[in-house]
Amino acid sequence: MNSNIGQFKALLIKEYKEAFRDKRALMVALMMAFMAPIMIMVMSKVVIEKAVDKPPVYIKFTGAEYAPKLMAHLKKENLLDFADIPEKDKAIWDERNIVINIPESYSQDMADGKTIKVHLQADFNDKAVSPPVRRINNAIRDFSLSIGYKRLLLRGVDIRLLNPVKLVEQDTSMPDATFIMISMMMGLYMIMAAFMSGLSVAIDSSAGERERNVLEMLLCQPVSTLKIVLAKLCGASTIAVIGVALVLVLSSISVGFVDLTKIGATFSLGFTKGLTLFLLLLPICFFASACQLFLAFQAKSFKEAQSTVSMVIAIPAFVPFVLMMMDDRPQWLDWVPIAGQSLIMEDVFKGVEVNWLAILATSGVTIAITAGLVAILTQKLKSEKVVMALS
Amino acid sequence: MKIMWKQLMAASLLAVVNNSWADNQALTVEDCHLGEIRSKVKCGTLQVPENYANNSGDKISVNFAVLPAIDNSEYKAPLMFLAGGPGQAAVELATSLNRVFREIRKTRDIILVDQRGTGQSSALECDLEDEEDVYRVLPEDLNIEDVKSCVSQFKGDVSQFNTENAIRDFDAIRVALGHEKINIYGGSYGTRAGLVYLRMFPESLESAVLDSVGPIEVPIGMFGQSGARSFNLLLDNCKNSESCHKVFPNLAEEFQAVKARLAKEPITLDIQHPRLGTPTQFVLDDTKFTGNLRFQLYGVEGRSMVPLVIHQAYLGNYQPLIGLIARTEGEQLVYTGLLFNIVCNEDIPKVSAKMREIDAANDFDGAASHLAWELICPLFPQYRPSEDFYQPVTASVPTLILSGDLDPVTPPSNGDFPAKTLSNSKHIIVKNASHTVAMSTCASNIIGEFLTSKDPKSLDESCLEDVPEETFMTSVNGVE
Amino acid sequence: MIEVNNLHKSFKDKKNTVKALDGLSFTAKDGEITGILGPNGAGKTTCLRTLYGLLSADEGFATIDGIKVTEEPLKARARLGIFPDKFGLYERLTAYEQIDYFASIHGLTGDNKKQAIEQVIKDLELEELAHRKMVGFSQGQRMKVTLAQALVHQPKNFVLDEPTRGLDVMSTRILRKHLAKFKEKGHCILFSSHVMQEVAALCDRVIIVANGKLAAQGTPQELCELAGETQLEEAFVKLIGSDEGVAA
Repeated sequence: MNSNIGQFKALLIKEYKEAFRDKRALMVALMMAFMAPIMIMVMSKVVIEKAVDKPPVYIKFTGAEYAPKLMAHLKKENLLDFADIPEKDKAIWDERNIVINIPESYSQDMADGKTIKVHLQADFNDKAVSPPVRRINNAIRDFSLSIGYKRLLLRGVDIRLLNPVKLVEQDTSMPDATFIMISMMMGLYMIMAAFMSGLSVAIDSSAGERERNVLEMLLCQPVSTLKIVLAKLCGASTIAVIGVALVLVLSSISVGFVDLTKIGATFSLGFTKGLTLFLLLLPICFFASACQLFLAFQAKSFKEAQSTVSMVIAIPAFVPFVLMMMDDRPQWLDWVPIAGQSLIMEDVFKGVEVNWLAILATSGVTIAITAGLVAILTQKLKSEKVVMALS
Repeated sequence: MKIMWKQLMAASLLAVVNNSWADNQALTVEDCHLGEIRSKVKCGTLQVPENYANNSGDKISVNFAVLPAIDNSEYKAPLMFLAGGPGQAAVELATSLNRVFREIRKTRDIILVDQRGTGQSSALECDLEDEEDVYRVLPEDLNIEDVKSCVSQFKGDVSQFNTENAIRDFDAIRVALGHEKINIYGGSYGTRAGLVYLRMFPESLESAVLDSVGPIEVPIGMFGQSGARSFNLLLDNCKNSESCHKVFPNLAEEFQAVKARLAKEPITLDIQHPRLGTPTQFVLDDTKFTGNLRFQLYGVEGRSMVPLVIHQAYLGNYQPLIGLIARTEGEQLVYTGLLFNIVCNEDIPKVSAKMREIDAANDFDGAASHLAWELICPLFPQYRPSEDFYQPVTASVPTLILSGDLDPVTPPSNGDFPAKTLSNSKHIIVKNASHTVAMSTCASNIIGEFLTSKDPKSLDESCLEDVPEETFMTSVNGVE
Repeated sequence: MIEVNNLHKSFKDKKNTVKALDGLSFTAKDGEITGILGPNGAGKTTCLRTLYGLLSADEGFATIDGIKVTEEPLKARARLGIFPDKFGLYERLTAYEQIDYFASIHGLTGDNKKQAIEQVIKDLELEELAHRKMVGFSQGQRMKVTLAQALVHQPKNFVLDEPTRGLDVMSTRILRKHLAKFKEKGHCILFSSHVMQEVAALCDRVIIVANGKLAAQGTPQELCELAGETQLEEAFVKLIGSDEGVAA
C-alpha cells in the first residue's frame, strides 16, 4: 500500500516537474488566464468608452480669443485647445490636425444676431477623426441652440415651441439583457479556460511521451496503467485548475476597474461567487483533461493528437450557444457536463440563490463520466493496439 | 376661473425646482416605463389606512416607483427621495432624479413615493373649469368662491393628509419592500418630511440627507427676508462682475423704479400669446413682477437672466419677462391642494404678527409672499399637529445637511437648526448654488460618498469649490 | 532466470495474418549473458514485448524467475531491468530525477533509494551529469542514464534490446564492462542484437531466432561447430538459411 502511494507520488511529481518546467508550454497553457484581464480591459476600453466616455480631443483653434464662452463650453465637453496638449499625445493630434477657425467678427455678429460661421477643417476620410468631429458637431449645435433658445425667450416666445415633437425611447429589453450577454461570455470563457489550460500538458504527457519513446518504457515498468493515467490526469487537470483559478482571480480584480454600470450593465465577482464558480468548474477541469488524454492517447501521432484535441475545444464553446438557442430545454441537459455547469453559472452571475443540489448533481455526473473515461483509458493502455502503435 | 393658484405658487412654493410583509395583498409591483427613462423600472402601489389611528377604516392607495440599482449584485440600502413643495409628486420627477442620482443608482435602488395628496396617491385636486391664463391674471384676482368649491371637491378626510401620516406611508413602503433600513434624501419641504421621519422612525434610517432645509423651528411661508437676501446677493454679484456692472450699472435703482411704477399702476399690453400665437393681454403689477423674479432666484440659470429682465422692463420691454413666465406656463409644479393643506395647518398657525412684520420689512417684495396664505388658508379645513411635532428633532442618524448660499426660500441659516440638534451631522454651505444644491451641482456625488461612508464629517467637498460663480446675460442676443 | 516456452503470436489485419512467433522457446540462465540473434523481422522485439507483458502470446508463456508474466505482470516486471532499443528520456528532468523516478516506480523509498541511486551513479560515472537536465545529452550520455535507470533497483534479470546501436566505441565498452560485472554477480542477462562480433565477444549462450522460431542455440563455439563454420557470422547465415538482415 505504502509503495503504491509512493509509486503514484513519484509518477505525479514527475508529471508536475515536466509540466512546470516547460515554461513556454506553460505560458501557452495559462494564456487564457492572462488574457482574461486584457479581454475585460479591452472590452471596457472599446465598449464603454465608445458608448459613454468622452476622451479628450485636441483642436487647433484660430480666433479662440474671440469666443471665450464657446471655448468654455467646448472645454466642458472635453474638446480642448491643442495648445494645452500633453507632450505624449502631441504627435497623434498633430497628425489628425483638426482645425477650428473662429472669425474675428464673432462677438459683433453675436451681438447683432447674425449667424456666425465657424469652420471645422479635418480629414473627414480619416476614421480616427470622425468621432471627434461628431462630438464637435454636437457640442457646437448644443451651444448654438442654448443661445437660440435664450434669444427667443428674451423676445417673449415660449421656447417649448421649438420642440413640437419629442421622441421618448422606452427600452423593452429586460434590464439585465446586457448582463446576460456579459455573463454568458464570462461563463464561456471560464469553461474554455478549463479546457485550454490543461490542453498542452495533456497532449504532451500522452502523445508527446509516446513520440519521445518514453511511454513504452513506462508501460514496461511494474506500475499499473491506472496509476499512469491518473497521474497524467492529475498533472493536466492541475494546470487546468490553476488556469481557471487565475482566470477567476484576475477577472475579479480587473472587473473592479471597469465601471460596467456606465453602459447599464453589471458584473461583479466577489469572493463567494468566485469560490462557487471555482467549485463548479473543478470537475470540468478533470473532465476536460480526461477527454484530452483519452483522445491524445489514441491519436497516431503528436500532430494528430493536437488537431483532434483542438477540435474537442469547440464543444465547450458550442454548448452554451446551443443552450441559448434552445427555447425548450430538456431536463437532462441540466445534468450533462458543461451544459449543466453553464446553466448554474448563469444563476451564479445573476446572484440568484445557487442550487447546491444542482451543483452536486452535475458535478457528480461530470465526475462519473470522467471516471468512466479513465477506466476505459486504463484498459486501452493495456491493449495490444496501443502497444503496437508505439513503434 | 382657476386664477391664482399658479401665480401664488410662483411666490410661495418650497419646491424642488428642476424640472416580510405585513399584508401582501396591499402591495403591487410591476415593470413599467416612467417619464423619459429609457430602461424599465418598477411601479407599485401600497394600500395604507387613511387614518393610522383607525386601521380598519378607509384605505388609500399610495403610489411609488423604484428605479432599480443597475448593479444589484451587492445589496445596499436604497435611497428614498422625499419631494418638496409640499405637494410635489416624487414619481413625476423620476426623469430628472434618474439623471441627478445616476451615480447612486448604480448600486442602490432609488425609491420615489407620491406623498399622499399628490400624484397618483389620492391627489387633492379639483376640476378646473378654465385654463388659467398666466399672462392676463394678477395674484390679487383670486376668486375666493373658486377656491372654496375646489376644496369642497377634495375626497377623503383632508385632515389625514398631513406630514406625519405621509411619513407613516413612507415607512410602510420601506417595510413592504422588505428593507430593514433605508437612506433618505429630502429636498426643500422634503427636508421637513425627512426631519419628521428622523423623529418618528430613526431606527428605520441608515442615513439622511437634508438639502435646503425647512426646519421645524422656521415656519414655511415667510419668504420675504430670505428672498430679499437672495436678490441682494444677486445685485452684489452683478456689481462685482465687470461685464454685468458695465451694462447694468444702476440695477438696484432700476428694480425699485420698475416696482414703484407697477405698484402705482399695473400695465396692460396687447401681446401674442407666447405659445398659442393668438392675441392676448399681458397684465403686470408689482406683486406679479417680484413673484416671477423670485421664481428665477431658485436656480442659477434663471438668476443669470434677472438683471437683463429688470433692465429691459425698466426700458419698457416686458418681453423677456413674458418669455420667462412662458417657461413653466401650463405646467403643474405642485399639487396645490396638498401644499395649502399642510402649510396652512402645520406652519402658518405658528407665524406670529411680529414675525410677519419682520419678514415684510424688506426691499425686495415686502409682504407679497404672505399673500397666498392670507387669502387661502382661511378657506382650508383645519387640523393641528401635536406639540411634539414642533420640538427640535434630535437623532443620531448620520445626516448630511446642504444649503445653497443664494437660496431665496431656505437660506443657509435654516440649515443651522438641524445641524445643532442632530448629533451626527455636518452642514455644508455651497457658495455659488441656489435652492436644492444636489439637483444642480456635484453635491450629488458627495451624497453618494456619504451614503457609503455614513460619516458626514469626513467627506471630500473639494468639487464644490469648482462650482462657478454666477454669471449674467448682458444682451438679448447672448454675448461673446 | 528468464524462460520462454513455446510462444506463438500472430498479428492480424484485414488482409493477412503475420506470424511473428511460432513456437519459440529458450531459457536465459542466471550468471550468464544470453544473446538473441536474429535478422530483422525474426520476432525479437515481439518476443521481448511478450516478456515485458505488453503483448500476450496466443500460445505458450514466458516466466521471469518462475513468475508467469501474463498472470502477474507487475510482479514479473519488478524483477526486470529493461534497456529498450529506443531509449527516450524525460528531457526536462535531470539525470538524477530520471533515475529517481524509475527507482520510485520500483518501490524504492527513503535512504534505500538514495543509496541505490548514488551507487548506480557512481558505478556509471554519472556524477558530473547527474544534476543537469538531459536535454542535449549525447547518445553515450543517454545510454548511461538509461542503463542507470534500468539497473537502479538491482534487477535480477536484465534485458537489453539492441543496446549498442548508435553508440560509439567508448560507450559500447562501458556497456560491456557493466554487463560483465553483472554477470559476475550472478544476474541473468538477455541481450538482443544483430551484431555478430558483439554477441560473439559477450555472450555465454546465443539463441538464434528466425521466422519466429528457435533456429539454433548454444555457446558461440557450439554454434560454429554446429554449422561447421569457424566464424559465427557464417554460422549464423547458415543456421537461419539466408543472409538477409544480418549486419557484420
